[in-house]
Amino acid sequence: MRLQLMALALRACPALAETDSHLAEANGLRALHVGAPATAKGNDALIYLDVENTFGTQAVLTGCTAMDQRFDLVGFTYGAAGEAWTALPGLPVLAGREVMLEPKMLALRWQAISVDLVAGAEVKIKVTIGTEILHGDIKNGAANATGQSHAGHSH
Amino acid sequence: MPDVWANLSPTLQDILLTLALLTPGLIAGALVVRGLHPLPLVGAMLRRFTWVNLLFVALIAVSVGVAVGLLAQERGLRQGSARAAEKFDLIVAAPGSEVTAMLAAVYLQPSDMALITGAQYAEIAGADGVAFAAPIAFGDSHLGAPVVGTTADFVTYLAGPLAEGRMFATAEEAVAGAFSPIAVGQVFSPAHGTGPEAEHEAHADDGYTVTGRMVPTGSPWDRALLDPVEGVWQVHGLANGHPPGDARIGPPFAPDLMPGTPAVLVHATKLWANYALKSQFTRGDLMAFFPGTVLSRLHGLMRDVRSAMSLMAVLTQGLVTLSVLTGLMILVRLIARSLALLRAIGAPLRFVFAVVWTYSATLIGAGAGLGLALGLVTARVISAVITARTDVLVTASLSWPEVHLVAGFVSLTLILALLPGWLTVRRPLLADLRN
Amino acid sequence: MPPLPAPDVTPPALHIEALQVTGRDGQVLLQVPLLDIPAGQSVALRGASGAGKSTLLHVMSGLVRPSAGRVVWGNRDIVPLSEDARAAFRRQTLGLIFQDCHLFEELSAHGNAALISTFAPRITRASLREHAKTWLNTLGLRQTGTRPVSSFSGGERQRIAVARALAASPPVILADEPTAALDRANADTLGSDLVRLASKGGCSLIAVTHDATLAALMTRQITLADGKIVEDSHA
Repeated sequence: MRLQLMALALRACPALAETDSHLAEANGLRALHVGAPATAKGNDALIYLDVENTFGTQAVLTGCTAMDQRFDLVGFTYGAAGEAWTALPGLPVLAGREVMLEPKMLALRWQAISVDLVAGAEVKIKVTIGTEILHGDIKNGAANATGQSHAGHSH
Repeated sequence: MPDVWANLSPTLQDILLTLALLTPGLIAGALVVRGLHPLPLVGAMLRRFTWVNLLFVALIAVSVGVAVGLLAQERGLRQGSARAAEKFDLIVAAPGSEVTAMLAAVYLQPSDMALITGAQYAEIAGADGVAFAAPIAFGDSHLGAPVVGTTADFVTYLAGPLAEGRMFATAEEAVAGAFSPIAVGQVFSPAHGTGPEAEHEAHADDGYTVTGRMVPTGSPWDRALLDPVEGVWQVHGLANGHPPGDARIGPPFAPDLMPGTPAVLVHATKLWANYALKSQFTRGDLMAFFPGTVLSRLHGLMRDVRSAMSLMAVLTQGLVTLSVLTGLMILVRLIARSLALLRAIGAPLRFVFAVVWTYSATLIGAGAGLGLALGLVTARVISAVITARTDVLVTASLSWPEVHLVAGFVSLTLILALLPGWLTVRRPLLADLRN
Repeated sequence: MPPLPAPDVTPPALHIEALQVTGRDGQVLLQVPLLDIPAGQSVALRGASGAGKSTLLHVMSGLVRPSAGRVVWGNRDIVPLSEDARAAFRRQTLGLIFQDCHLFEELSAHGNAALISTFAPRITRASLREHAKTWLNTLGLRQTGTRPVSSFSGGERQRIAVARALAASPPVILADEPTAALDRANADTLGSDLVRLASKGGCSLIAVTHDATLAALMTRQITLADGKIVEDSHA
């Protein structure tokens, strides 16, 4: 089984042409509904997205990089000590399946963000898979958003 | 500055915040009583209107106690329910309500649920990253205690080594929770169903022998009776998951001989595997969820309710503060003659002011302290009631949020207590002396 | 018996000039063109009820600010002083005795007698408390310091009030009907003790009184009527 490492590179940059405002796609791997609650600079931001693997083999989501920062893949746990996000080494996405990173479940954690994520704004992203570059957006939601605004509809 | 604060330990942050909240009131007090000795007269005033003073203290104590109790008890309930669910990493059930499935499988509040088939169970148990997959087959009871069919792996995982006796080894044996109503060595017949509608004679011909007792887990499982899932199937006249003549208990089960189970607890080999398994078994015919996530969302709702109730508690405290101030101003009029005497024989105005303020501060401090204790006692009583009713171990204790609340209240009222003193020194001296 | 605490200062003479006290309705309650009381003198202020005796005493003590005039103790006019400054003057110079004892029922006899120590500078508190105890003993309330005042008779309560007024060894004692609430025997005893102690200590004593026996013990009698001095035994 050939594992394909998929990394998402996020970089704020001038708008580029893209086919779908919230979809990044390449080689059968799709990252869609990328969103984050509005977060002030200096705080940790949690990025949520759906990852679909329409390719024939398993892929492993390990995290991403942006602005020279690495985003950890983190999993939510809850116990007597309260809520916690724990870094995970990776998450397999089976062939023909999807994985949803959603609040209080899974997320990509951008620690001590260097810019404000403002509600309603979009941050342009570049998704890098191997040598492929995908164009997409992080759509910033309200600060208290508990779900994805586009959850439930298909592309 | 934000970096300096962020680098401090949480305890130190809480201590500093407490001091910051108290500082305005303490500074006001220090300025008022600096160099003065008002305590002997304050003691006299406290003794003069003993019952009125006690009433004021009680009024303050109750308002503080309500707010403190609310915070402490809510935190205790949240932590207790979260602690009870900590061991339940991933639950797989038939599609439906995650909350219903969680309440049934984790908190043993059973509901009618569709069953996971033998084939589905085999797929779950055989998936990559699964350490064990334990059926949780609830529905029967004995003397009000849930009887749950599961595996030895689950019992060991949930509670660790037994406190007494040994693990069940046959389908006719069971292990009791720490506080279940039956002793090791006793035999019981389960009732079909739970609650007042349970049919006590339905399985009268079948019996389980209790072979061991678990250590307390702080969850409803402390009252439960756990037996091999094969026993539950047999008692209901179903196949027991194994070929005829195979007397062993525990997985693997033959898929076509496994009658099904309403829920399966999945424990993964690694933390990350939980999330992969959750994705893998979230599909049309199965529902996989993390009880922690579901509980966290429920607690989020509770927090919203708590916020609304906290607002009411704050408003109540505000009203009580105003009442206390009004009462203090009335009390000051009752002692106006004595205060006028002090002024007449040469007491500085600042001394008279200090006597009135210190008297007010004493009532406020005593009420707040008593309120803190009252809140803790109230929270503990309510927690004990909840524990008795739900079998979820809820313990209430005082923590920094309550301390901050009381510190803020005390500081604010100490500053507001300057008002009665100011009004006192503006009163007509001779008129009060002649009164 | 240890020597009585004596005032640390020579009693100031009192000079009142062009004094006028007006009520809220504009009615003139008291009018004194001129009054001089030498240091160390004992003076009885007499007259019918409503004559202005207590008003004059209150003006002398700074408890009431006149609408016009000067009230000069020694070389200090207390009329323009702030309330805190007048309180300081009373604290340092005057011992006040009221008709109604005005005791703190929750304090002991000694606690009441030493009341001034509660707001005195720390350095003087101990000596003031000792003085209070001495005065209680002198006034016949020996060994009673810790008893609650509610257990004392009327005469004893007034003696406690006298001890309170004398605790700081004031050079001037102002008394408003000190014997009015007492029976004859107690009034005679207290009155003579008061005059004797004031004289022995070299204090000035000014007392408003209806008590003829007490007035007769004083060296000077001033009679008021309708807010004016109508008779002065030293005039």
